[in-house]
Amino acid sequence: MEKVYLLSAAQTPFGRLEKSGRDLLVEACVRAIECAGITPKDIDAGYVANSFGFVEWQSHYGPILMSTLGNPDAPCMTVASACASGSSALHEAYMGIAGGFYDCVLVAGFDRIEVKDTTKLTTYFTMGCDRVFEAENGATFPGLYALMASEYIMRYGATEEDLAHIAVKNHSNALHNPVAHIQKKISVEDVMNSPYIARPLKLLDCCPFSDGAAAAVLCSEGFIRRFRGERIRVVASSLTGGEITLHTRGDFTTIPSAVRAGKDAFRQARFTRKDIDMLEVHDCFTVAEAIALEDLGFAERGKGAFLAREGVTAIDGDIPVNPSGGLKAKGHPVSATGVAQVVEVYEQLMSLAGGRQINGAEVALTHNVGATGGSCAVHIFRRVK
Amino acid sequence: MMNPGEVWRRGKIPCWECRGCGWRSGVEVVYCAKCHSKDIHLIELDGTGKVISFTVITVPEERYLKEVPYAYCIVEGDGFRFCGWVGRDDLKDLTIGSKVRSVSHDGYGLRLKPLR
Repeated sequence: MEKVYLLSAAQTPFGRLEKSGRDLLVEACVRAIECAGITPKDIDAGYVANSFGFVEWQSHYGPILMSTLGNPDAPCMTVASACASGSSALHEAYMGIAGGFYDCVLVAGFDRIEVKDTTKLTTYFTMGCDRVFEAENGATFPGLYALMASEYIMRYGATEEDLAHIAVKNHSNALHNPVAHIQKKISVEDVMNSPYIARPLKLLDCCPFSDGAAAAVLCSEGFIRRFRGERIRVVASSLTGGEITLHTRGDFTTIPSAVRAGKDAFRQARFTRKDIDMLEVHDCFTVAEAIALEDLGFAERGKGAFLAREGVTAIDGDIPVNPSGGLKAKGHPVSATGVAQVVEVYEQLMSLAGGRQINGAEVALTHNVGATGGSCAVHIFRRVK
Repeated sequence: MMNPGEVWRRGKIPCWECRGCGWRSGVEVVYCAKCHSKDIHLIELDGTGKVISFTVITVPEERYLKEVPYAYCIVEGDGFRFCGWVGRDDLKDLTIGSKVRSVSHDGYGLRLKPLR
């Protein structure tokens, strides 16, 4: 297999945005192309992650993007895996280069839903779970993660306050991230006093509905030789599948597809957990960060929920988690998220992260989950000379 | 696929049973996930089971707007799991471990009532 490098990554601000999804997509891609120091003609292929393009009556975004970039002959397709769409597109790009098919690949992820109404947005999001067997029975995304949280709290004696500390930490990190959707400091009391969405999850346990786009350029060893300086190698790319319905799984306090993706990624990279300097994990709800740390082997079962409270996962802690603010505060434009995690990795490993910089960060891991674990991707990146 | 909504409205619980190995599934399967046999038969059961987890939902999707607060429940049935919901009037009787039975109705999903 060919070695794969991350040449650049960039994004639009996240938030409830007025620009169209198409404009956001192009904006993020232009930023990534300029950051890479390439021209669109260098791009051999593209992968665009998108889930809600139909809201703007548009699909087939691949050729729209490549045509807009003046390179219409490059193959470019849309990738969809719910909230893991971005990392799934990244995995496709990785395979294209590792397999020797391409030298330079553009990866992008975006979503924009013009609707502001919470009920309608909640309905859109249920499209990522099993609509017939889960949503028809009243399931919502907060509802499904609430079942995980409820089981977790019962089994391990964690409290809603413990989970609140995860939200507080991620909001605090996002204060230093100029592209974050929510740049507002919150307290444990704020989380505890916010209204229940699905017990035991409250409004401030949940990530916001965001719009935005992110893009990255991946390339081969041959291609990167034309650039000087430090570079980032993608040392692992693992994509897994999992049972789509939560209720048919044996244990609600773990996501089996994430456990497998994590193991596979560490095997590919030949790294141990100790080699990792920072993580961006899929904290769509506070409990999801706790479970992610356990699934990836950074915490024992039942201990993940306490790490934020103990300061272990803070930017200056032993294992910094979601220095970007995570989905919780940086925001979650569904298909952009998996690529946006890579933007944070790029900025951290290239020492561009400003007030949220993790000193000496050299190796980073991203974890991106589709729905409640119907899909999951884990990537590991390493800065090399 | 068959329409489980129609079965749920009649207060019945659809179950996909493998005649190869006896495995049962509460969601549609065409091949058995255990023995990979295609000898799958859809049966309808009179539904009772035990609630193993539930959450009270206050922010629903569109179809459940008039039902809030309601509980989305996971139920252990006879050899398979299914999900359903308990309406606001019955929430006081619902705990983990509650026995529930399915009831016929004209709305969405599988409506459950706790047995007192």
